[in-house]
Amino acid sequence: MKRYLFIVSRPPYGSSFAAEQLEAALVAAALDGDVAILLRDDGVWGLQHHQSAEAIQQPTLTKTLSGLPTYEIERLFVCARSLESRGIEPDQTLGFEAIGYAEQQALISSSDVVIGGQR
Amino acid sequence: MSLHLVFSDAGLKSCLLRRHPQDLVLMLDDGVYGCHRWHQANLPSSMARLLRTDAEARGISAVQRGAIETVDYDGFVELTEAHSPIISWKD
Amino acid sequence: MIYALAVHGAPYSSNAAEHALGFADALLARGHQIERVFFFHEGVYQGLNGTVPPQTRYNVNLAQRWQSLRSGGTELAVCIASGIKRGVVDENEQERYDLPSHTLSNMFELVGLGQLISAIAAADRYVEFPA
Repeated sequence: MKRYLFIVSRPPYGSSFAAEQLEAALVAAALDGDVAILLRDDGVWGLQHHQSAEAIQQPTLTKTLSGLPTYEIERLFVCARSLESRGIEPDQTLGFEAIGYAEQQALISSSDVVIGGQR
Repeated sequence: MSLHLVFSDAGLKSCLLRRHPQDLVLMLDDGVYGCHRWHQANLPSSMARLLRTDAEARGISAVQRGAIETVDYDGFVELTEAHSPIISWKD
Repeated sequence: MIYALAVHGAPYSSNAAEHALGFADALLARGHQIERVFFFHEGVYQGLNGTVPPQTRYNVNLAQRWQSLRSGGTELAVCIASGIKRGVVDENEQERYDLPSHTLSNMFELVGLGQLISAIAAADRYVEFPA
């Protein structure tokens, strides 16, 4: 069993990247095990309150995020500075822990596989 | 130690915030423009590499490159043999 | 060592394929194995059966290079979820969705995301080539 880290750096609705990335994370959790997720930079917009993507006929990302613990993905992290610089008060019910750069560095180093973080 | 594959200057910026100082960085594709940022941040040249063909294609000069070594694809593979995990950054 | 590779960029619009191919050739030359190349996000367009290199790049034929990697025994796997919504379909999916034609090159196969994870699980290294 490997330790996976999935990084999401893009906002939820402007492209399919974030949704496709989370899908891969769910599959990894189901098949092989230990999965962590890190939202950084524009990826942190995923934690914004009051999203309702039904307005643009898309699934609301927060619904996917709130389901992660059901798939035993419980190591959920968000870049504290990325939240701060965007003035986002994250939806606490989603259970993402805000961490600094040093902790993100440790998170990367302690992973066997890092997936994502790009255009 | 980890290996960071940096594919853009913006990617380098994000990588530098989250990289362990002992981690090696390979700049390739548009990431080779990052050697300017690398030197400006006074980072040790020994911790970076440039993919030779990509640096050459983009006209990265000896002055811009400084003491950062270049590698070919064989050298790229060699770096991945010695490091884990491997993280790509394009932002 | 065993490697799993992922390609996220479309042909001739990003350099993801060129980098993945250059890396793959060097890997094999150094005696490593490639468990699978997985095409995800916009990388699925690499699997289209009718790509023509632009005239300005007449000497770079990505389809031919994927072909020679495939002939050497490397599995080229296109993410089915990312693929079918972008029109990259094999005969099965053509039939299932009643589409006018199939578009997947016969060098590639359409597979689920599970095949990305199983490749990574079996590999010593995972290397990703972004769009």
